[in-house]
Parts: sequence; structure tokens; C-alpha cells
Amino acid sequence: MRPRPTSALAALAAVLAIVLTACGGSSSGGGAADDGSGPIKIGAWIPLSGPQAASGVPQMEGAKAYFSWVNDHGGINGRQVDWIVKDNAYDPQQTVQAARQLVGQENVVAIVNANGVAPSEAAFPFVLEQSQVPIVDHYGGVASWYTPPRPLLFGTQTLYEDQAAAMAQWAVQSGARKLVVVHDDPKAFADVAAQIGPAAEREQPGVTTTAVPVKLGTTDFAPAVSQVKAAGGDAVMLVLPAPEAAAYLKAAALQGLSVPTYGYAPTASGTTVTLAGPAAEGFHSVSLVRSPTEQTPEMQQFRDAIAKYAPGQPADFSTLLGYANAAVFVEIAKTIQGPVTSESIADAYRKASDVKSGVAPDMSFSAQSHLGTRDVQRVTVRNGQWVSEGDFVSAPERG
Amino acid sequence: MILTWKVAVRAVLGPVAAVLLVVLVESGLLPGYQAYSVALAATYTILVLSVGLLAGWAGIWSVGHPALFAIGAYTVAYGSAHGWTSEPTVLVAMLLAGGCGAFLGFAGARFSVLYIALLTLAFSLVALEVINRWVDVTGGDQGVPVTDLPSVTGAGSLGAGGPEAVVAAILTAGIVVGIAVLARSTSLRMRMVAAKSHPVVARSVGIAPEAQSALAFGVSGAATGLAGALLGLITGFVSPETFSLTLGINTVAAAVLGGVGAVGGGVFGGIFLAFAPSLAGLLGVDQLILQGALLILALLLLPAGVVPALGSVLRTLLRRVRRPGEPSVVEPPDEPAPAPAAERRTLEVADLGVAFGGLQALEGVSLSVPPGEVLAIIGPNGAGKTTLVNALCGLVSGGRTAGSATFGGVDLLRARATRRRRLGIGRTFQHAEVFTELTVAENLLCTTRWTTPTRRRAVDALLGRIGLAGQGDVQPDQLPFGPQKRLDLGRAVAEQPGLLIMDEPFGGLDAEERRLLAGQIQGLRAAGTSVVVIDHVLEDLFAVADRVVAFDFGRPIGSGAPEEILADDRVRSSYLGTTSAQQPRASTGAEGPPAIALSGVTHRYGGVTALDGVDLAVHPGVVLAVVGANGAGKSTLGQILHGTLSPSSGTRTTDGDVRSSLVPEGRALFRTLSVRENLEVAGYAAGISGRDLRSRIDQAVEWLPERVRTRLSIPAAALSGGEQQLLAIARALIADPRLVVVDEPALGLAPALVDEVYGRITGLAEEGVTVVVLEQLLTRALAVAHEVVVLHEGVVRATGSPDDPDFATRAERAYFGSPVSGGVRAG
Amino acid sequence: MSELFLVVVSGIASGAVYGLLGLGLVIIYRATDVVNFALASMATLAVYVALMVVQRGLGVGAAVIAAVLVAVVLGLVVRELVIRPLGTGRLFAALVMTMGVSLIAEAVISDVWGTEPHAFPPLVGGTVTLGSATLATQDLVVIGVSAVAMLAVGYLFTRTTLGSAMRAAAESAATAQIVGVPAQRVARIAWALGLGLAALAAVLYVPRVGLAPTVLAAPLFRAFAGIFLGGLTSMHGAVIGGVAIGVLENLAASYVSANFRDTFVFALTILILLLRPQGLFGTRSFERV
Repeated sequence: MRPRPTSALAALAAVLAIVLTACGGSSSGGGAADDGSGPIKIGAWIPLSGPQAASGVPQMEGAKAYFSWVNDHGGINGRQVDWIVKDNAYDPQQTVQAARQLVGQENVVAIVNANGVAPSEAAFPFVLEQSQVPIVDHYGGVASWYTPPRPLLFGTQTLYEDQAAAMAQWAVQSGARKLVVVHDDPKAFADVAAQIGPAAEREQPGVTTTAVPVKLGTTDFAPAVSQVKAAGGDAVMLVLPAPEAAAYLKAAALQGLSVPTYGYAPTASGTTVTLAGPAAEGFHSVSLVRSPTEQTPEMQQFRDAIAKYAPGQPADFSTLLGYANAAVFVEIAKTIQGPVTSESIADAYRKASDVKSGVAPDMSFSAQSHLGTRDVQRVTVRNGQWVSEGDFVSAPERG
Repeated sequence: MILTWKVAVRAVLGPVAAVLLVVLVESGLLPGYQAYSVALAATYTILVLSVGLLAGWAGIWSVGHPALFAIGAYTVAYGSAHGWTSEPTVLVAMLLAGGCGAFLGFAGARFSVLYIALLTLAFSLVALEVINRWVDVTGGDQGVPVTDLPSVTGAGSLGAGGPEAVVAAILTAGIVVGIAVLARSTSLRMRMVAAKSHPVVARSVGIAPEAQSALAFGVSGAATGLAGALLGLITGFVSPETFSLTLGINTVAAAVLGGVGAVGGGVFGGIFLAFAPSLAGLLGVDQLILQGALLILALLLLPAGVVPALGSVLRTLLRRVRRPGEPSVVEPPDEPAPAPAAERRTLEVADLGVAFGGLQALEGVSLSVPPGEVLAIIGPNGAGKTTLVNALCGLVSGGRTAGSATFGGVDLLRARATRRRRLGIGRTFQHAEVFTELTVAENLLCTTRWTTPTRRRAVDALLGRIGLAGQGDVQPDQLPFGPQKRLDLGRAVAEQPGLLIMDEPFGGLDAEERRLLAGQIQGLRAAGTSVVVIDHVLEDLFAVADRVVAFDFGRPIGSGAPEEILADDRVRSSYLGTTSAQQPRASTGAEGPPAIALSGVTHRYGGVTALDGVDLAVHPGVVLAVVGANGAGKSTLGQILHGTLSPSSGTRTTDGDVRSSLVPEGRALFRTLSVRENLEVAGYAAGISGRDLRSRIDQAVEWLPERVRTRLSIPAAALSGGEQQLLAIARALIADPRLVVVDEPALGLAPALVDEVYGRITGLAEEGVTVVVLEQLLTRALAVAHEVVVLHEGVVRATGSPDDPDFATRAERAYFGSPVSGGVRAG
Repeated sequence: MSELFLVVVSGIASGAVYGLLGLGLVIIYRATDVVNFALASMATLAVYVALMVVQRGLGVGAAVIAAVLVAVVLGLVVRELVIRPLGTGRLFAALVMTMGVSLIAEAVISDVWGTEPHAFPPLVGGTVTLGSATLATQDLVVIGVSAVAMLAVGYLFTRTTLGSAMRAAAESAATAQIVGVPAQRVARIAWALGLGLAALAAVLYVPRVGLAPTVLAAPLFRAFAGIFLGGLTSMHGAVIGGVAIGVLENLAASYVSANFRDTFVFALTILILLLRPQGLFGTRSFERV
């Protein structure tokens, strides 16, 4: 264990070995001037390992299924899509590394359907500002990303804050006057939960809201349910990840609490139904996409695509979210005349309106609004299935 | 000796490599997209170095470094949002993280290593909760951006993920690596390693483990804070995902993978952390599988870590290329007198007593050692000699002390153990407790806080005086035992102590080494150092001692010049033993072939010869006593007879299958297990179960005294010493042995109990079991055995039967190893 | 009052799981000086196999047995393949080795069964009403089964010859060697026992939260806190510590602050350790490391 010059040499050798292997990939240099023939190279970072992989993997598989389907059906105006995914393990540093590889090494023209709120934000300065590469159809995000709009950032998912307002509106419209909000404690959840009270108040003055914060990662919801009972509300609003929402629903059923319960979009998931079982019956949620069980041609195409291109994956919300994002990108990219470049993609997004995917709300963008939609789909669990209630509704305006 | 230019060359390797990397990055030779990864690797290098060196040098394993890392990162985020300049911001980051680290190190010093790990784990979890909640500063889980931080000099700015930050990170890592290399050869590291590997000994040379652990964690924390600041600067954004427990675990794994305690290992680990994801992507395997497989393979194939292992492979290759240099043969030096002791002071002990629970280990000890006197303390095992040494050295934790002990007027019973070095008290250890993780020279250098060139020259000179010139770079465990003891002595006298306490300094040394040591002690005396020596090897002791105090049963029983003491009946009998009543003699054992025969048996431990050419025949059905002073080789002989130890050379032959059991010295009972369970364990070990075991236990229980027989469910620890000894023997009988080896059965027992224990042991022989007793007291051996073998320094000096009237005298001479005047008047 | 009752009982049910895991950790640590980080992920892998048994319609009982068997076999294989070659006295090398095993087990689970959570049936459905509080029967079953398992382990260790030998080896490996206790056999039995208990803990725990690749990561950390609280060397300490952590965190989340739950629990643990560095039930003389 003593220092000797040979140790230093050994270290150097080992270091070189790693660096050479790691750098050994293709290192094509120079900006890719699009010649209008080869595949359209786009990329994404998605957590494929670690706890967040539970949503990341199906999201990737869903999008991959759509891109495969498009490639097998003529591509985008005759051009194949090459979607390169890097695992970011939901880590900011790995996300920046992935971003630099995608942009610097793979020369992608856009980041499509990437996943990770804070990790992605760490990559924004490099991707959006230094490299001028657009990030579109991001999975998840916060209000500050789109107000004011950033030149190259375009979203296709209704904000969590709007989801909260939409679920409050739904509950109040259904007659609830005393709302109890069960939410996880980190800021990402607390900020969303904080939107429920004002939205309910605006919908119907006099509606009261009580908050029951729980620790992220809680598995034992018995205490929370007791607190909800004590608060005596007539509707419960869940701002929790799907497994925790399921744990809450089970604990509530156990203690005989039978007030209507609403969840925000992350709870509209197969996981909730799988884990909560019968306790999920009657649970309402606002979803970003239509229910994957709907009998429309577009949804049938989704189920077929999953069955064909991602056979191990369920045809449910988890895959549909990625699929929908991919679909929106392809629809907009089809409108591009001429070379597909970072600029032309951003341009196409700015001009896009009434983009129809059939699975997600219709999207419209403008120079002022980079968020394509504020709509949600109301869904309810009936007989162990998520069932759509009506069509997409717009989230109420927030203050 | 450590050559400064070599260190300097190695120290600039890091910065030079960093500059090269910067050139690569800036010139565009390295693809631009890799610049961030390289900077990240540089940042992680600092982090992994902090963790790995903390573990390797100070023995603290931390999974709490992500929290310190976070402190650095959020500090720059806060600074950039509040218009701070870069240099003070980074300094604040280092101070905050270093302060937290020092606190953790200080608070954790009282815990064992796994508990410190838990403490750091808790720190990490708490920090994450604070980060999530302190939204104003941290932005909670949504993170916070780092904008540009202008330099205080006005020359440019750092941050927001710009190229300047990348350059800064790489250069900083290079400098940190350089500093780490330099720190390696300073006392700073040596003292940490010393405190880690041997806290008790470290205290004796004035190193306080708590202070070392606080210092080490503080420095490590500051470096991690620096790394965190760099992370914030190169990424331009800080969010809590980065600082999860996963990073803590990955960092420890990376440190172990690279090689804990090696600077190169930290560099490797940092690069591994930064590039493992890309590598996994490149190879098309899962990140987790790659990491897991690498960890497992590396630890199986390169147990010391990648860099140390590669280093040793390279060294072997280089050695093959170069002509191997002959290791210089060490000539023991002639004795240049050491410098005179700084101050002349007197050790005064008055009515000192030490009690452990109900046991009075030391009682009514009064003695005075004036400057320049060599006082020898003798006495049989358990007489209280070691307790006295520990009391003087401040190491009687858990014992109650009475009376007083002062040195130069300073109360030793109240002073902390670490203060003794400053008071001018040095100590050597019975087993030469050198710091095996340090080199020979470092063992001596670590006693002072700063390694100055003067200090190095002084250590070189000292190495010469203790006969280790040119061996400075050797690891002490590669030395034979003798030189190790000289190193131990050198460490104790490095700063010319006023008082030197030596615990069995002659034990395990050969005749020449003993002569040398005696010379060294005389040299110290001439220089005015007082010396207190404890030993069993009486003739050497008497050659150097001015005065001798004999101990027995925790109190002095005689004092005077060496020759007077040796003539004292009480002293002689305390060694040779008194037995009031002759034990009933068992019938003489059967003639015929021996049950076990040893021929030409020699055994060495490392460089120490424990047994030398022993021939011995154990006849069935006899009681054979092997007698000798401590360190004569009895226990080694016992284990070889038992068959659990294979001798270095020589043969052990048995008459057919001889089932044998060993009752080890100190009984070796399982203290928390009940009496019955202790017996059961022996049954389990012998493969006996069910009804067979129960009947064996019943037999063994019958053999035990009444008081134990009726208390089979009490823990063995609650039995008296004699009962424990009997239980240990009963346990040995469970396996139904034909031969029982009993090692020092009388140790620590009151005389009446000794008689009972021996009565039962000889009773075994009457039942046909062959018994070998290893015994310190000659008289007792003569009283109970059919045959007596006297061992002296690993050699059989006398063999005979107690029935032989001349044998007692012969045996006594053999026991002391040299002719002594006067006969034994035992009993 | 009924809320407090609920919070406590529910905490005991979680704590029983931490206690079982902690017991497994302590048994392995005491016998072999290995802090088995992979305990949780190996047990999780075993539960995935048990899930296949359930899906074949063989019933939850058979699944529990399958989980325990798979975990035991897995544990023995891992010990023989990667831990034993390391040799003894390599505390942190062994710890990092088990981290490696844990990573691989996690990856295998994700690759074979996917990352999305699966439902795992409880041993018993239904509820029990006590006064005004309603409890899941499963929670009571968890407490009951854990108690039986712990008592069985207690019986094994205190009333059988094998148990005496294992405690002997744990008290002093050196002395056990002198007496001739077969160290390897004891180590294998300890690993088998530890993994079996962990698998049992896992099948009791997953019905509540669903089966996911890292489902036992959080309980493992709680179990660690529990055994440090109870004393690393004490088996009943591990159980009591685990239960205490389970109850404490429920109380903290309900009555102190949801956000600072871990801070509260760990601050209390550290405080107790500052007063008793060996843990509540640990023995001080027992310096292993």
C-alpha cells in the first residue's frame, strides 16, 4: 500500500484503459448538415436503471414501438427515425453526460421524449443554449419551464399544476365541499397540491381544503388515513406516485373510508389498479392521454404496436405516454418541408396547431405558448379497468 | 529512507497529468462532448480520494460524503445567486464541509468502525431531508441553478457549466492528487495510520486517536466540499438526486475497487464513477450488472484493489528486468550513547492499588525510581506486573485505582495516556507492537507531528543506533522478531525519554540480541534515563538491573539487589511453587510403545523459534508434566502433541488413532454460554448428538464438583476460576479422549482450588487417560506427575521422574537455564 | 386514541419485518463477520420466484416455502462463490462484495420480470375490528408469523446443540476453532438461516406495497438502524430495535413531522448510541472490529 512510482504508472495505465474504452465509440465530428436522405437522428435520456426505471422503461418501449411502427409505414416523409436513448439513472450528472454525447457525438437534431425534471434541467444550459438543440415532448416538467416560453423547449403534457386544478374542479363539480389533499412532502408534490385549494375556491367559493402531507416513500398509510378521517372531508385528492396512491387506497378501504377519491395524472396508471386491486374500484384520476382500453382505431393501433414491437410490455398508460409523445413528434415533423434540422423542428413546433394523435389531446403551439395542451381526460376505475368519462376537458385557468 | 526528490517527482505527476488533460481538452484533441465527463471524473476523483484515503489512513468508512459533497455544491449555488466571488465561495464551501466532517470524526471516534458508518449514513439521510425542505436555498427537489461566479481578482469568472469550470476542475483535481501524494510522506498520514491500526500503542507515543479521526474527517470533508463546489460549477445546476445514498455506496465501492488508501486508487475510482455509465452503454450491458460484476471480479482477483494490484505486478516485472539488488545484511551496531535525557525526574509510586470488580489485581505497591536507575520487576504470571505497567501508562480502563503514582511531580493516575509521551515516558511492548501498515522509518517518524529534514536525519541516526540502518523502507512485518523489538525500542526512545517502561524486552530474543539489548539499556541508564523492566528471563534481567522488586498475588514480596532477591526464599518459591500436600500418586503408567512420540520437532513463528529439536515420548496412562517459565515453548509443544499445530520440522507419530483433547491456557470457555451449552458445543464439534451426547454430558457432569453440577444453566462466566478450569477439562472429556493436554491449569487459581483441580487431573490418569500437563511451577509438576520434562527456551533441558532424588536439583537448574546457587527448598 | 392504536400496531407490523431482516443480518454477521448488503435484493429475487408459484395457482403457502428455499439456495451459492474465497477478517471487502451481488440481483430482477410493480397476495385477506380501529388481518398475521419465526430462532439458538455451537462460534471464532467447531458448516447454516428469515420478511412485506426490484431497499436501511439501535451483536436487540424503528417512524410521521421522519428516527438512534455506544443490548467486551 505504499506509494511507489510503479503504483502511479499502474494508475495511469488503468486510467488510460478506461478512458480509451469510454471514448472509443464513434467520434464523428462536425455539425450534421442534413442532406434530406438519411435517417432523422433524435435522442433522449430516460432512467432505465434505479427506482425511476419503473416508469422509464415502459415509456421508452412505448415510444420505441411508435417509432418502429412509423419506420415500418414509410417513416417521416420517407425518412426513417433513429431515436437514440441513453440511460440517465435519474442522475443530473449522467443526464448532462448523456446530453453531451447525444448532441456532441451522435449529432441528434432534437431531444424527444426525455424523462427527468431536475436532471433534465441540469442539461438545459448545454442543450438549449450552448448547442441550440430543441427539447420537445418532454416527459414531466414544471410550470417555470414554459412561462416565459424558452425558445427551444416545447411540451406536450398538461402541467402537474393544471392537473391539480382539473381534479379540484372535477371534485367540486361532483358536489364535494370539503377537500382533503394527501400529498408527498417534497416541493414537486407540495407545489402541485397547493394548486388544489385555490382552484376549488374559484370553482365554488367556500370550499375548504385540508392538507395531509406524508413522507415520500411511505408504505404505511394507516396514520394518513386516520388523519383524513379526522379531517372529515367529502373528497380526497391524491398527489402521490402510483404505488403510494395504491397503498393509500388499500389503507382507506381497510378502514372503511369511502369518500370519493381523485388522483393526479401519475396515479392514472396500471400500477394503481394492479397494486390496489378491488380497493381501486371507483377511484378517479385525470389522465394525460385517453384510456388505453378505448375502442378507437388509434388506440387499437397502439395496442397492436405494443404487441408487435414491445411484446413484453403492457398496453397501458405507462407505455401509452411514451407512445403519445412519439406520435406528436412524428405528426409535427411531417409538416417540415426540406431539411430536418434543429431550427426547422423548432420552427415546425412554433407553427403547429391542432396536431392530432388520437391518443393524446390535440396540440396547438404558438410563439407565446410552448405548451401544446392544458387538457386532461377524466378516467375512473370500473371493474378493474380505467374507463374514460367524456372527452378531454381543459384545466381551469389558474390565478 | 524516504527520498524527498522521489516524493516530489510523484507529487508533480498529478498536476502534470492535469495540465496535459487541459491541453487535450482545450486543443480539441479530446472530443468536446467528453470535456464534461473528464471534468466530472476529476471531481469524482477528489471525492473518491477523500473517501478512500479516509478509510485507508484513518480507518473511517463513510457513506456520508454525499452530504458533504452537497454542502459544497449548494454553497456555490447560493454564492452565485448572491453575487459572491468565486474564491471566497469555494473557501466557505470547504470550511462548512470540513467543519461538519471534523464534527463527525470527533463524535464518531468513540464508536467502532461499523457504528461510524451508521453515523455517516444518518448524517446523509438527515442532510437529504434538510435539502428537500430548505427550499429557499436548495430549490427543494427541483434543484437550483449555478450562475457565473466572478473571480475575486476580476480576471474572468467560473461556473454555469462553462469551459473555465472544466479547466478549473481538472487542474484542482491534479493539485489535490499532488497534495495527497505529498501528504503520504508526512507525519500527518503516519499518525492517522498509527492511531487506526493500534490505538493503544498510538496513545503510548502521544497520538490521540480522537484527534486523528477528527482531523482526518475534517480534511477529507474540506476536500469533498471543494469537489462539491466544482460539481456545481461544471454542471451549472444542483439538485438532490445527485447526493443520494446510492452515491455514497458507489463512492465506497469505487474506492475499494481502485484500492483503499492508495492515491492512484482514488484516481481510478473517480474515473470509474464518471465513466461507468458510458462504458456500460458502450458495451451494451446494464449499468448495474457492469458495476456489480466489476466489483466482484476485482475483489476476487485483485483483493487489494486494482491500482495496488497492478502496481505490484509492474514492480515484479520491473524487478525481473533490473538486476535484483542484494538486500544489505544488517550489522548490529556498536552502541553510540544516545543523547542525554532532557530532564532528570523521579518516578514515585505510593500505596498503589488497582481493582477490577471484586478482584484486587494490585495492592499496596510503593516504589521509587530515581533518574538513571534500572529497576526490574519480576514475578510469576498473574502477579500483577502487567497491571502495574498499565497503571503507569494510563491504560487501566474499567479498573479502580487507589494510591498515587507521580513522575516528576505529575500525577500519572489522572493524566491521559497520550500525555505520557510529552512527560517523557516511553514504553515498549512484550510483542513488539509495531505499526505494521507503516514502514520502519515511518514507525519512528510518526511520533512527532511534523516531518522536517532534521527529523528525518535524526530518525536515520536512530535507525543506525538500533541496527536497522538502510531498512527504513521495509515493512516491519517482514523483519524477524528481534529487529521488530529493536524498532519498538527505538520508537520508545526516539525523543530521549526520562523514563522508559519495558514489558518483557528479552522475551523471544536470541542470546546475541539479548546481549545487545542489555547494552542498549545500560546506554540509556548512562544517559540518565530511568528504566522499569518487567521480564521472566531472570538472568538477563539481573545483568542490567540495579534493583529488583519481586511481585506475587498483586503485591511486592521482596526488593533488593539482584543477587539478594534471587536468594530470597519467598521469591524463589513464588516461581518454583509450593505445594502443601503431595497429591495421591496414580499408579505408574503402562510400559510399551508411547501413545505419541515427537522426534526432532522444531517450530518457528515468523522469525521466532519456539521449539528447537524436541524429542519426547508420551506413554499411555501416565501424567506427564512439561515445565518451563513463560515463553519456554510449552503451549506450542502442547498444540503439537494435540495435533492441531504442525511443527515446522520434525515428526509426530502416534500409536494408532489417538483421540486427543486440548484444554487451552486461559480455559477458552464460551463465557456467555451456560455450563451445559459449553459441553454441548464440544459434543457438536466431535460430531456426537442425541442420546449419545446426553449420556456423555451426564458423565462429564458427574465429574464436575457439586456446586457446578447443580447449576448447569448459569453462564460459564459466573463460575469461579477453579470451576471454570474443571468445566474446561470436562468439556475436553466429552470427546472421550485417550490423551488430554491441559495447558497451565493452575493459572489464576487460589492454592486450595489448585489442589482440587490437580486432584481431578490425576484422577483422570487413574481412569486410564493419558494426561499432559503444561505447568509453570516446577514443584507442582514434581508433585503430581509421573514424568517431568523441563523446557527452557524451546529446548528440552531435563527429563526425569520425580522419584529420582537428584532430579529436582537438575530440573531446577534446567528451569533457570543456568546454574544457580542454593537448592530448592520447596514446601 | 384509536388513531394512536392504529399507528402503533401498524408500526409494529412494519417493525416486525425490519426485525426479521435485522435478525437475518445479525445471524450472518455474528457467525461470519459479513455485513450482508445483498440480503434484501436476494430475498426480493426469491419473492419474484414465489410470485411465479402464485401465478401457477399453487397458493400463497407454497409461494412462501418457495421464496424461503430459493433465498436459502441463493445465499449458499453466493457465500461459496464470492464470500468464502475472500477469506476471513475482510469486513469491508466482504461488504462491497455483497454490494456487487446486490446490484447484479437487482439488474437480473429488472431484466427478467420488468421494473413495474407487481401485486403479491397477502397470506390472509380481510380485516379485524378492535374497538373503533380496523386492522388488516394480514398485519396481525405479519406480527404473528414474525413472532413465531423469532421464537423458533430463539429456540434454535438457546435450546439446541447446533444453536449452542453457533453462539459459541459467534462469541469467539478463535475459541470455537480450538474446541473444534466446524467453522464452514456453521457459516453455511448461518447464511441459510439469515436468507430464509429475509425471504420470510419479504413475503410478509410485499403484499402491502407491491413487488418491485428495489422494494426492500428502504426496509433494509431501517433494519440496519434497528440492529445498531439494538446492538450489532444481539439477536433480540435486532428484533426489538427493528420493531422500535417501525413504531417510531410511524409516530414521528403522524405526530412530529412527515418530512423530518428520518431525521427524528436517526437522531434518536444516534442519541442512544452516544449514551450506549454498544447499542441497547450489545455487549461491550465484544470488539469485533
